[in-house]
Amino acid sequence: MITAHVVNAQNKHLYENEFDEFLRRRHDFFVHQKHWRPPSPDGRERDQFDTDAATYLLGLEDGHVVTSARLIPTSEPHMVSEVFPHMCEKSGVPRRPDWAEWTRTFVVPDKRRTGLRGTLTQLCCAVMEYALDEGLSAVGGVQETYFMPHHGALKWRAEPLGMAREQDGEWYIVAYIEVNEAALASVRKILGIEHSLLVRRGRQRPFVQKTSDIIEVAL
Amino acid sequence: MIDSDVFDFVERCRKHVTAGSLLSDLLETVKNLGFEHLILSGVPLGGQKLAPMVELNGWPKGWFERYVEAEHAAVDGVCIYSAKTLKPFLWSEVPAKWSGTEASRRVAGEATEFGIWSGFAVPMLSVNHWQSVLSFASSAKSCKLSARQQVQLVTMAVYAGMTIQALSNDEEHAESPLTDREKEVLLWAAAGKTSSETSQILGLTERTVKWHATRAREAFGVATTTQAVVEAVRRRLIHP
Repeated sequence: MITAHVVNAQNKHLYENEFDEFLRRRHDFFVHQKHWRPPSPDGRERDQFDTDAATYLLGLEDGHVVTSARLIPTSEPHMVSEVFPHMCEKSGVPRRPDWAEWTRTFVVPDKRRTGLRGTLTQLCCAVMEYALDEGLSAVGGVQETYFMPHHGALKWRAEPLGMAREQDGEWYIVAYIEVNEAALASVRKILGIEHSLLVRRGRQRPFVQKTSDIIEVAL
Repeated sequence: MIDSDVFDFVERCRKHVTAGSLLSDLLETVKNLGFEHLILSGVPLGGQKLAPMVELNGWPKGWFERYVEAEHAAVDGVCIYSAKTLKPFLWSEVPAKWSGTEASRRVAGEATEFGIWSGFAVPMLSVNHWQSVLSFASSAKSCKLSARQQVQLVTMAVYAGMTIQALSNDEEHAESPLTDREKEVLLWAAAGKTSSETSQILGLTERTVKWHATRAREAFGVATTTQAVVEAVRRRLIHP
């Protein structure tokens, strides 16, 4: 079972090795396996959305990064707003601090398996737990249509923001998953766990920057 | 068909509580794109039986029976190709290597007797099988789909696939790490029975009871049957 470490600009210095491993695994996956991105000379994959606005969940098992998620408030520039806005013809591009775009998820090859209790479901559980903790309403973004039934299997509800599209031979859809207690309960039930998968070390930063915080600073 | 029909279908998917109502809704909706029949099934591999893998059966009854009876799945190019690609495809696009065999052409020929001439297939992840495929069938000699219609069909297929996964009852069969027998043996162990006593209760040999206990320990990677009982209770697999 993974533990999912919450890493953002505030506590990133505590995770230098893990974060570097994460970027290398991303390179393995998004460059070599998916061919979505050009190779990088340093063997690490980054994009324009790896900014201080991002929060990462690094799924660790036996000291290694085996899975990951990157969450960005949709009120900030994010992949759907910058690259795939045309895929939101039904509902428009989301722009809400409590809607998080979920990207950069992979599972390392030796942790991939069929069935519903694997590393991917564990990561999904961690994302839902984090989203609920942080008071988010929805998580999602552009995803491969092929994997959508996984949400169904977790009894999650995913709202499409537009139609599925083919791009470079792959099919994608922009969809957002509802965050609520029932969604966390169902994925925990599938995994047979009741405990938290999240680990928070060092200074924490709320995902949703409250207007009241900003006003206090201004005063 | 307009896009809002597709989103209406997606919205209705939330309300379907049985596979049957989902199937009739989807059949009714895709009629507008020229498809009269459909099937959503796990893709059989290496001689697996098709029938138990079927999740939505909207094929003509006689055709499904014949397909299963004659074990067409093993030679049908569309079915074979469904296991090899992650991408939606027109049946006519199946490479000749699989669609051009004599056996596959015979299956395609027989299908026409049931009004099935062409089609479009959408492979998807399945948590129970290698993968699933939702295949739409048409009585048109060749299936003409505009780019927009393909988009509409894929969107509906994906939501149907999600819905069927959500409807499948994972309580019982979703890869429980223990068989019913193993659970039974652990239950009696939890009640303080020895293997010999359990064997009498269940009418099994003591050796068989011990074998089930060993399998249960292995399933959890633990050393003793007591630990296996604790783990089974913790995961709510048994309720002593």
